[in-house]
Amino acid sequence: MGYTVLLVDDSDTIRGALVKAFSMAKLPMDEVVQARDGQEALEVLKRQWIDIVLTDINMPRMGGEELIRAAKSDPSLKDIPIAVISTEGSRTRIDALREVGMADYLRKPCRPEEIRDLLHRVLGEWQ
Amino acid sequence: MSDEVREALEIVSVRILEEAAFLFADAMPPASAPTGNWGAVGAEIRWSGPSSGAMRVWSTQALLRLLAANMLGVEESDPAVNASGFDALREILNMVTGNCLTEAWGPGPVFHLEIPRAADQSLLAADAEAGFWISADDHPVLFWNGIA
Repeated sequence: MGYTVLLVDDSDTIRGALVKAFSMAKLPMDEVVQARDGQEALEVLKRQWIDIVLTDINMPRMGGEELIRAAKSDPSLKDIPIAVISTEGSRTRIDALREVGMADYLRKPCRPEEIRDLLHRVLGEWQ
Repeated sequence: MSDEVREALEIVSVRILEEAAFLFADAMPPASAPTGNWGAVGAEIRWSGPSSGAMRVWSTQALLRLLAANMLGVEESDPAVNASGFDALREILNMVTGNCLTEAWGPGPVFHLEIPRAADQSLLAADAEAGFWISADDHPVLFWNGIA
């Protein structure tokens, strides 16, 4: 048994790099599900169990902030932690994302051990 | 380019290429930069906020393949690399721009970054004159930044 993670990013390369990072960090993964934008992510969240969502902010159709707002306003999804992995560097914007329910934040580019630490902070140490 | 953004770009572009794509990058003297038709592929990103502007990056197909392979952690012969080269270039530009704006203006201001897209080839010659060249694993990379 391990984590089931939903990666949300419009870049195939970034999603691929994050999957590689999970492997390098030796994270226990049951499944890594991928979505290209917030709308695809919401469809995934409504049909299967996800332990944590890692999302970009700027994406076509529905961005990361809209995804967080939509999930937090849905009683069946509001308890799923959503962390942001983005190039965003504005403290003001990051604080605003926390206010709408973002669980944690990492800035791109990030190292495998930073991703591992984020998962441990949000989900707890894997036993 | 303004001096502040130029300085930030010189620092950030080298760091991002090293951290995100594991490439050894360094400033390239303009005299060593390629001229004429060097087969450049470009991406552009626009931003708005306390200032508005655009940033473009240009490089060769060979570097795009290397970027994709290194970011995905696969060999250049991997089929995934063929489809990911331009996407990798767009993401490098996205990371450079986001980090460069923070480096130049600090962590307070909020900027909105648009989704990176293909750059207009007709802009390459002017960008080559005004931009900033670096060498990444011996491949030429040209960055250009403009503030509206």
